[in-house]
Amino acid sequence: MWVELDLQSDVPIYEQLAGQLMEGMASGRLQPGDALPSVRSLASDLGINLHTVNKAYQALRQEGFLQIHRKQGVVVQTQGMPGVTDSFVAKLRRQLRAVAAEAAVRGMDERRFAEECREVFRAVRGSERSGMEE
Amino acid sequence: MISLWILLGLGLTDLAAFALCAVLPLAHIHGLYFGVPVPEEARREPDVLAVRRRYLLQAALVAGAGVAAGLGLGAATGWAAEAIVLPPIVLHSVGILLAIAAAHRAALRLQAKRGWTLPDSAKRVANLRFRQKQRMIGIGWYGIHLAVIALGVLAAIAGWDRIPDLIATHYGINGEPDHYSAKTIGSVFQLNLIQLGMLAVFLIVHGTMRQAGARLDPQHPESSMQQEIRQRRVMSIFIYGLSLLTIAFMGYIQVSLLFGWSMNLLLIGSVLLPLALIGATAGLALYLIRRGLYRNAVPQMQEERHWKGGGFFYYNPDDPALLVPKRYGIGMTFNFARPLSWVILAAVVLLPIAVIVAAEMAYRP
Repeated sequence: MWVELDLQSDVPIYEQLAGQLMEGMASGRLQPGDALPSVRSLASDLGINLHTVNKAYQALRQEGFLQIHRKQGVVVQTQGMPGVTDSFVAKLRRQLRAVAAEAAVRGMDERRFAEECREVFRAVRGSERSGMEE
Repeated sequence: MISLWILLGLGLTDLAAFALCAVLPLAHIHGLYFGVPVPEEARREPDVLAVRRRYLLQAALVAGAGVAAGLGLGAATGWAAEAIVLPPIVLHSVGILLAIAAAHRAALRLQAKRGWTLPDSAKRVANLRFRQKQRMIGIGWYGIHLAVIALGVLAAIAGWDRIPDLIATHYGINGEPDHYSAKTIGSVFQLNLIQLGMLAVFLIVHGTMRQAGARLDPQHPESSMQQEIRQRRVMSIFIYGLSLLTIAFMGYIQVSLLFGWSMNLLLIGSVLLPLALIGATAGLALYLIRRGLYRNAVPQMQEERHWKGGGFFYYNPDDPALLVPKRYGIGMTFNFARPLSWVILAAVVLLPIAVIVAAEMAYRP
């Protein structure tokens, strides 16, 4: 699986990286138990600071998506992914709120908004078969 | 006769190394001209060609000045071998660096005048499975080196009684032994220790290369990854062959010294070996250029400020990679912002020097 970063983007680099790893897990390109490169080798390949890669890995580990072992290194969670928790639903609503507000101001109706959400969700789940296959 | 042969060999080695250093900057690697981005279509323009012409002239002058200095000092000192050989080596290595630096500055002036720039992309790509896909030669193959070293040790133990009480342990530049040591465990097995030290250095180089950052082209991630994988394989095999040759040659030196084998073959070998190494390096460079395996890293404007000293030295404290693809020429170079780079470089450069100095100190008549 490939990761691609844009160093000039407004989105912080660690967020871009964590987001792409999350997409990998969502699409099935990263399966539970798959090993990720060590912090050092991924940072070396991308030419970015160790702390940036570490921050992305730690964020995903704290949420329960990755395991970091002393021996096996960084591995996609094998004990079952964290489910849909109350705090996640709260976060989801918080993030959707801002987007929904802008959509409403711009005059998008409820059906269209729901349709767009569904398409993004399907694209994330379905990129398994298309595009960035290695 | 022998010393003339050695002089000739050293002189040829010096000239071959000089030629290799002089020609590589002309290879337009990574679309760079003396470390400066020059577009393909501008390469034939008169002011660009003038930089190249002036560089070639300076290189020829440096080559001639080195040879003249060697001959002059040689004549003045009654043809002392050191006086003939050392001045060309020093003049050639300093001179070619100055000539390249001058050409780099001239190219920079052209760049400022004409406004050439590198592609400016802040994109970076990496493949999460690159380390698993890497096909470098396996570390187990270095077991053969250990076997070669063990063979020398076993030969010395088995033939202990046939080793003379005085062993020639140091040879002058004229090819004659100028110091002998008493037969002790230290003097019999010292070359094996040096072999082990060299093996350690080669293993460090191998391991560092395995961990080197793969800087892939965001425009062509897949093909640049395939190139990087092949380039690393070729280079790991090259270093493997180089190390095996060196360690086997030292083993041959050991048994020759211990059992009084003919030194002629050894002397011929010690002259041909450096020439062969330079030839192999040139061959590797040519192979990589022909196969297009050097162009995996496309220099980007973003990276520019990390390359110091005319594109020779990479210094990026934010980059954890110890080795990165060279900006200038073929292969990899250290990230000098990382202290471990200095340690490894010191090991690679200083170990052979330390061996020579230690030998000189120990066997000073």
